[in-house]
Parts: sequence; structure tokens; C-alpha cells
Amino acid sequence: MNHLMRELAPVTDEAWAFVEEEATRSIKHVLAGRRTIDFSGPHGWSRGAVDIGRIEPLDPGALGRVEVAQRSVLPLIEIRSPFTLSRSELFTADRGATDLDLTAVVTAARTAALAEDHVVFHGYGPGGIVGIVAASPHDPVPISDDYSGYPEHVATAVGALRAAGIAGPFAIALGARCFTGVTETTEHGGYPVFEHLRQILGGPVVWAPAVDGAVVLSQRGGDFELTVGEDFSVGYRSHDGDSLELYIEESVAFRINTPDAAVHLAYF
Amino acid sequence: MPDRRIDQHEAAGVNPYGDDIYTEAEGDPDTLSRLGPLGALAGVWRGDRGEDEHPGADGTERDAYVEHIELQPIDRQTNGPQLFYGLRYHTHIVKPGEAETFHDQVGYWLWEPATGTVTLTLGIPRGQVLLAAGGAEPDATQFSVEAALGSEVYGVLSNPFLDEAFRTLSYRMDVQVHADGSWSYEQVGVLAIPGRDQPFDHVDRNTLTRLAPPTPNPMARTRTAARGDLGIGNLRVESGAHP
Repeated sequence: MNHLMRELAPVTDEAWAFVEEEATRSIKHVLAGRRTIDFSGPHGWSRGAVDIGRIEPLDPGALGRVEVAQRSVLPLIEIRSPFTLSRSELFTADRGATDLDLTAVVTAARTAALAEDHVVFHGYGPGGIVGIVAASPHDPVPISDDYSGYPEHVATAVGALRAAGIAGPFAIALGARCFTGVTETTEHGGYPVFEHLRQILGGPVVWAPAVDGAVVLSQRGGDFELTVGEDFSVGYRSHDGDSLELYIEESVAFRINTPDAAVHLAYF
Repeated sequence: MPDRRIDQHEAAGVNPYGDDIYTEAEGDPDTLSRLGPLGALAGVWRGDRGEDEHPGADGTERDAYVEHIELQPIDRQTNGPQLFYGLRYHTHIVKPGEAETFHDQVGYWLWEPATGTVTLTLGIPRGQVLLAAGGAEPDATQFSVEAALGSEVYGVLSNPFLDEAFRTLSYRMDVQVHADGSWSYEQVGVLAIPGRDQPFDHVDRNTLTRLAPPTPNPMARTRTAARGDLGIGNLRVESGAHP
């Protein structure tokens, strides 16, 4: 048994399969960062930090005439999203039911995935993680609800990146509001804005509900890295006669090597 | 020679692969539990008493050597219906007390359960490769592999100089696993050397004792270390419009 304590849960293999399938589907549906940045892992639950190759000089004090420095690391944060399931509902899976009410799983999975993407794009101060948006030195490109103008906005962002020496191809992570507008809009002549964006970028157009506005970022690699210790996993917390407390968790860190490899498109 | 062992099965009226040469065989993700006679070789090993008899200008030269060999399990491998479990190995040899590489060798030990065949691939950085094989029982503690120059299946290939000056006519390696967990080998490369009337037996032998256990293969690690992992991983390969 590992730290997830799954063997203590009164859940049959069939019911676990339903829970995991729904969680996996929901997490993949929401995640955008992993579609657009470098990924390292999973390195396991025991991984605690990412080496960043820097040091902090320390006062040698009693150590005498030596130089002392401490290695700097980026600690992984643990993201945990708890949920409660009805045991009677899970029992129906063992009787052959295929329409289990797993709303709680979907909600928890979505919450966990949104949290990871928030870390990537908008950072997480308490964890010492700076997100792509805050790190970018470029002026944000102002956007509005006039989605026919998006090709121009994206071209502006791509131009800024190229001017900074950042090579493509590029991707765009579109917040929910942007994505809906872009997919529903055609330009004069009827050409879909969505397709036009792909041509400008040379890379994917990604639905990114955790993003406020949109972010254009290079896909050349090496600029942004998500490090995962334990990848999204389902664990057991407790149960009583009626309900079961589970959770979805991961351990993760995010670091930026090239802050100017992204441009924020922000609503004004 | 173990050439075309499949012919032996066919001669016995048994085709272990069936008629469908495209459908991939199913296999166990845990390689360490499926290595047959090779299971005893998995891990990191050292042998301090290696003996090498190789050709010299005046006849036979003898050298002692110290060997470090690492054999780590790999994920199961398939050629359509053909299924292998294997170990990737790296052998590094020095003379006692020296740092300079005396011999370096890489390759795979493979076990094919369906045919009871052990296969050795061998590559050395002096421009020579070979593929050798032999039959074995799954619980065998002794087994051998052989290769011969000119074979289209289990043969030897050398660079032009080696082929001219030290032509390997055949190769045989005998392995024995001991009760205390150590194992020994003796390998003989039969060489044809210009100016010599008789073929020369280039012999190496050593006994290896274990320094460290093997690291489970990637599929096994995923299964055992991350029970509960949803397997989300890297989604960049799925890039494109979403959802």
C-alpha cells in the first residue's frame, strides 16, 4: 500500500475504474498548460523539489575561513482536491450500472486541473511560483469582445515575440470567454477566425479555462517547464456507512526559463 | 548451431507465432518476473578475476581483468506475434589497477518464452557486432548461445580490417548460475588469423558477484510505484484544437 491508502477504501475494482475514468477524462478536458509547455515527470511522490542550479551565499560564522553557499531549489507544491461519493451509488457499479452519478468526481477533477493551470499561467505566490502572465516582460495586447479582430491581436503578439528573438511555432491558450467568441466568429468573407489563428501561430489553439484573457507562447521548447512529482492520482481519506471521502492530488512545480517567450492578451 | 530455431518448431508441427504476423503479442509489464533463465543475471555485477586469452604477435597473450556489468530489464518487446523479455547490458572492463578501458561492450540478453530461446546481441567499439542464440528451459541454470560467420540469422559482422586480420569464424558463450547467486561465463571466439595454420580460440571467462539489484523496467515501475496514478502525463503530443 502506498500513501494514497486506496486499499483501505471499501471500493471494488469496478467502482474504482468508473471513478478513475471520469477523473481522467475531466482532468484531460480542462488542462491546457500541459498541451503547450515542457513536461518533466512523473518523478514520484518522494520528489520534493526541482534543482534550479543557483546558490545563496551564507555567512560561514563558526566554520572559519571558508566560503559557504546553500543550493537553491524550487519546492514542489501538493494540490489536493477532496470529494465525497455515496457508497450506495458506487455499489450500483458492481451490479452492472453504467450511469453512476459521479458529479463530485468531475467537479474535483476540474478543480484540480484548473489549479494546476492557474499555477502555470498566473502563478501561485505562497508557493513561490511565478506564472507565465506575470513573468512576461511584454506589454499585454489589449483585446475586447470583437473577436473578428483576434487575428490582428495574435499577429501583434507573434510579432512581439519574434522581435524579442523568440522563435516559433507558437500556441495560444484561450480563456473560456475568448475561446467561445473565437470559435463562433467568422471574418468578412466567412473564414473562421479559429483557423486564421492557427495559420498565424503555426501551432495549436487551446481551450484554457484557467486563463484570464489569452496567452500566446512559443512552442520551440525549453522556455517553460512543468515538473510533476506524483501525477494526478486518486487517494482515500475516510468513509462511514453512507459515504466515502476520496481526493485527487498531485505534486507539481513550475518554472520559467525564458520569461519573454510569452505575451498576454488581456481584456481592457 | 541454433540457426532458425523456428524451423525446429515447424518441423515438430508447431508454429509458435501463428499465421498472423502483424498482430502484436500480449505480454506482462513486469519484465523481471518473465526473464526465464536470464532472471538470475539481472542487476549490477562485478568480477575481479577475469581471465583473457587473446592472440599476440608471439602466440597467446594472457591478461587478468576486472569487469563491471550492469544488466537492467527493459519493457517487453514484440515483432508482431513474437514476444521478448530482456535485459539491456553494458560491460566495462579494465586491467587490475588501471583506469583505461580494456574492453567495452553493449547489447541485450533476450528471452523468448514461446520458443525457449535465449538471444544475445553484442556490440563492441572496435567495429564488430554479433547475434547469438541458444535454447534453454525457463529455470535453467546453465545455457549457451552461439553464432557463426556467414549465418543469415545468428551471425557475426566485422569491419574490413578485423575481418581480414582477426576473422571471427564462430562465437560461443556458456553461462552458469551458481547456488550462491553469483554467475560465471566462458566465451570463445574462434579466430582465423593470417599466417597461422590453426584457428585461434580467443577465450574470456569470469565470475560475477552482485553489487546491486536491478531497477524494474519502466512499465513495471509505473504499475507498482504509482497505483492510483491516472496516467495524465504529457499532453503536448495531443496538441491541436481543444476540446
